Amino acid sequence: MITKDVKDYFYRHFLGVLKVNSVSPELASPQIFSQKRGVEVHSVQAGARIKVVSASRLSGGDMSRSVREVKFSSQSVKVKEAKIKRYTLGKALPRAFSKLKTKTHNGTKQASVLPQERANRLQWQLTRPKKEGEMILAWFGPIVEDAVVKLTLNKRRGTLLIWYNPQSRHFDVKGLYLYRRMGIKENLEWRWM
Amino acid sequence: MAVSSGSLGYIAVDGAEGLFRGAALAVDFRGIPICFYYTDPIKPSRLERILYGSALEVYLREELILESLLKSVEAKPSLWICREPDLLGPLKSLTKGKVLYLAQSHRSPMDAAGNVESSGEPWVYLVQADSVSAPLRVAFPENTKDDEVKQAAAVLVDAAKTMELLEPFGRIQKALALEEKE
Repeated sequence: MITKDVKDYFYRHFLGVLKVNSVSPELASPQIFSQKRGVEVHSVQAGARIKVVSASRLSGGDMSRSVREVKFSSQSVKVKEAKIKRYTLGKALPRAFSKLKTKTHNGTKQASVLPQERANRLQWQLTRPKKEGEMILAWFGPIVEDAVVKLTLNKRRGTLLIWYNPQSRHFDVKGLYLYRRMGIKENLEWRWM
Repeated sequence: MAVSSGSLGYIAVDGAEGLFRGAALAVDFRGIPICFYYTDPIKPSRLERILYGSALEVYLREELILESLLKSVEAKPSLWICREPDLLGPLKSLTKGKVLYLAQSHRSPMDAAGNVESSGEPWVYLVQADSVSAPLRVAFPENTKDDEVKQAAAVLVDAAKTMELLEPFGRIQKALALEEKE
């Protein structure tokens, strides 16, 4: 390869010509940068899926960390993925505070079909009808016998359930004994007194 | 056949677990219902609890529930009976009638039905309403006169001949429980 100096030497001896290069004294104009800062605006895409790493449980100092992302120990946390939603300012709806209210209902029909419940008051009976071969188990009263529609013994609670006829005009009361007749057939029997 | 025109009014206001409701049952002297009214349950919100403060329970029980019930009941019972002593005052001022608090006592029976004894507490008496149960503990509003106590005790004795005096409270509970299920 012929170098530039060798080329110049042959130019001068054989051609008498010397290649002259001009050098411009002017310096290259400096590049000017504006100090004004521009702001790039990017719109948030509502539908964009962005991975969000969240820790539902942190166990302590078991976490390794790097500059760009946080890594959690897989044993100590659950990683979830969720969409980021655009936050929009909602309108605050004023709620009026109203005074507490209640409504009254007529339940007379329902109440009139409920039975009255009588407890066994035998322990308070000082005088009891005694008959040979009978054992008194309970005494229920006062009961308006002529107004009774139905009587049921609640064996679990040992109480007597009474359904009265609401149209009845009777007020004469009696007591109802429950007794057991001793013998081969120990039947339970009722007796009004 | 005997006919009695007397009636008793039973009032129950419950505020268990922050849920307030009440019921009023008027019965004749056999315990047969004349009318029964109950309120919707009220569960005050957190905001209401803050705004009303300590006055909330009094307002709900005494003004809202009790007043609504008494306005609805068309019967005029001989006695109004409650099972919460703190309702005596408001019940008295709203009904302007005879009111009392009734509960079972654990005392041994007195000599005869109709006996009335002071319990030692002001305006609280033991009343032997019938001969087949323990005396009843009866409380009256403050400043109730002796005459009024005697009159009220006479009504209780009269009613106890044909009914069990505390039984209607159990029926109120059952009716409310049934209504709640529906």
